[in-house]
Amino acid sequence: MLTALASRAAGAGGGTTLPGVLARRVYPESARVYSKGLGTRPFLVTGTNGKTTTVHLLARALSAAGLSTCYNAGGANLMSGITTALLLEPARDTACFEVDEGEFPRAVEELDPGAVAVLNLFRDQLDRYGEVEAVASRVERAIAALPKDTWVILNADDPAVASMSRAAKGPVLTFGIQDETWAGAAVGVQDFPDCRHCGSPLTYSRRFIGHLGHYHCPRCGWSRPHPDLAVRNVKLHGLAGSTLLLSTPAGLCQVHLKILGLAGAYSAAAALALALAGGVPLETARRAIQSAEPAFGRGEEVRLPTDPRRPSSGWRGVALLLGKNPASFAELIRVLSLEPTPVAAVVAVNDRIADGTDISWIWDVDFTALAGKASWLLASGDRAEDVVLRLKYAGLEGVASERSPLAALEKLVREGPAGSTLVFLGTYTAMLELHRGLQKRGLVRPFWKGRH
Amino acid sequence: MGARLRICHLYPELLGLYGDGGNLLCLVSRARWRGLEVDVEEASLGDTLPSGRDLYLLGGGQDRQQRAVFADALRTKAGLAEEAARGAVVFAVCAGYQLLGEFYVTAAGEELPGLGLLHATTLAGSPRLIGDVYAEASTPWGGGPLVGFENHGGRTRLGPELSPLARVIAGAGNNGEDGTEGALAGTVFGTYLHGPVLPKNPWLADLLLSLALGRGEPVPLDPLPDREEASAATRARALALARRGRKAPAAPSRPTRRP
Repeated sequence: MLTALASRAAGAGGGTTLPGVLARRVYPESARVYSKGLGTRPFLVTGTNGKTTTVHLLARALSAAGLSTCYNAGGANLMSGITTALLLEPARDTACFEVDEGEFPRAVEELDPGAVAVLNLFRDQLDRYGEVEAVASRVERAIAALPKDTWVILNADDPAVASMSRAAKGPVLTFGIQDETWAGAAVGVQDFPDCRHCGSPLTYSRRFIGHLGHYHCPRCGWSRPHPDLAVRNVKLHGLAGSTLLLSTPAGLCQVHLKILGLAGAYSAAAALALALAGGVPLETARRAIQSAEPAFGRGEEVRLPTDPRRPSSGWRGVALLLGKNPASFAELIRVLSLEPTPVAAVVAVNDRIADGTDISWIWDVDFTALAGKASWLLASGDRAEDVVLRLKYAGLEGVASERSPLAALEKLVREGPAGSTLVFLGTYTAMLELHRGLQKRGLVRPFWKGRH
Repeated sequence: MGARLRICHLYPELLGLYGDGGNLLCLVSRARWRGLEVDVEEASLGDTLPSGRDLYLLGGGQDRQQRAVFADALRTKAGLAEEAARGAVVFAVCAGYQLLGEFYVTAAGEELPGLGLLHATTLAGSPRLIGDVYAEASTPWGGGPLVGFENHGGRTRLGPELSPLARVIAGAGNNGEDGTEGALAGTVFGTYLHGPVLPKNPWLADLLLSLALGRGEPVPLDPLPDREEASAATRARALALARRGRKAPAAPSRPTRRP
């Protein structure tokens, strides 16, 4: 844990964690005290995938409702990062934080949240936090420790998350996808194949992302709760975003999202649920979410000159896509497969602590859809050789590699075939390294400043 | 060639952690690239073990799944020992490897009896042994470098008659103490290496295929180019040595095959 802290403190840049680390060393109660000073108790979001996007959407909704909101925009989601955010902007009406799954119990204890959301629990960084099972138990115990007046927002489509309603003392709101169009389109690995109540294998009638879907237990009869916020209809427009029709306790609404994929739909539903729990009117929240740009590495576009020495020679846009684990990679590949044009892509995989040092998961991602869509591919990152090998077994022999993510991106811009959509798919530290390189050249804003 | 390889994948949805499905993809692809026909079938909880298959494959899993798998295996998969005795190849990774042993004692002290194909025993331990691994393998049919990633709490001890699959150069292996990694008895292979292990160690994948096709007597296979495999293995070995190596190692061996 210390190394993780140190690496993030040293590696994340922007001072998103260091002030908090120091403050907590001098006064361990800093976060507790600052959190008490907020007008409205903070909102916490945890889960494997979608935390950054959900918090990003929620912060916009809260701000739109007139609440000045502090949040950890840089994605520094350990207590050090949260403390830093509270320190730097203490006089706020409220706060919303993404919280690392392993850190969630501590965050709940120190911050006394008014609402929490658990988005999903996928296999991620097994080398760091042990198996998903253990993470699920810890999160559930933290939910059980919440007071009666804390809202608990749960993903109905994730059996491990939905079953946490049994532990909640406060009001529960669930969210999930009803649209069957996308069921079965991308089936990843199942992380929770068993019933959370009786232990026998669950049966699925629909699956959206990995083990997220409509399930029931044939033995004890436990089944997916009907969601309070239901995404009734999803239209995915590839990298252009999506259109959702949602039914909520406050009425029906349609949202045009710039956030990508079914994963984006889940984040939007969770952010709406949190906003409603916080008393934000539905229409205010809807508009705010609709105007949100993708967060760092979640489909944001960077523009680069084709020839850095002669910027007048023309510029090309590249979509940056962060893929952290099999589920998020699989979802990105689905988004790309819906693009109207062929795709030219860099796939960059690092195996540092913040990525998870075990990259076996790339074999759980079905790359064949990408293989069918790709006009040009380049492997990159610390484990570029593993990416090349993985792609060979997806039917693409002899893919080239370039260790440096920035050099790979430049090659993509130079060599990617005309008429193709250019994308850079990368793990966390590969994306961070890329961003730092781009920032030095003034091509992107520092990611920790967020985007408004 | 017209030969047909019949693979049985055991507990695919329960023992499918850490990309071990890549081992199946590797075996199937390498057989098909050589013009062989491949049948793959699955056998999970409650299913009787299909008999007479050439190769039985098991992956790694989480603790909760492990209990269910051990109990089910004793009831419905005990025939695996007979299949192995007839020359079928059994290849098991991590939790699957532990299942082939005599017993596994969980962190809570519960003893789960295994299938007993390998005279090995496993005790849950802490901390987990995690990281890149480089080992040198030797088998009666030749050996070679073995690279992968380990992530296990269990400490496995081999019985006096049981050979390890490999000797660890960088990493922990079976128990982090005696330098052994995996086990090999007849045509039964166990290893702690994920990665998944076979794509990056094609010589081992081909040994399994050749033994499976020959029912325990290796048959010659057409060579494959394996350029991507070689550079991924070289990189994995370098990273394992840099991160977990204890001493300056000798140059890696070349995969050898004895006729």
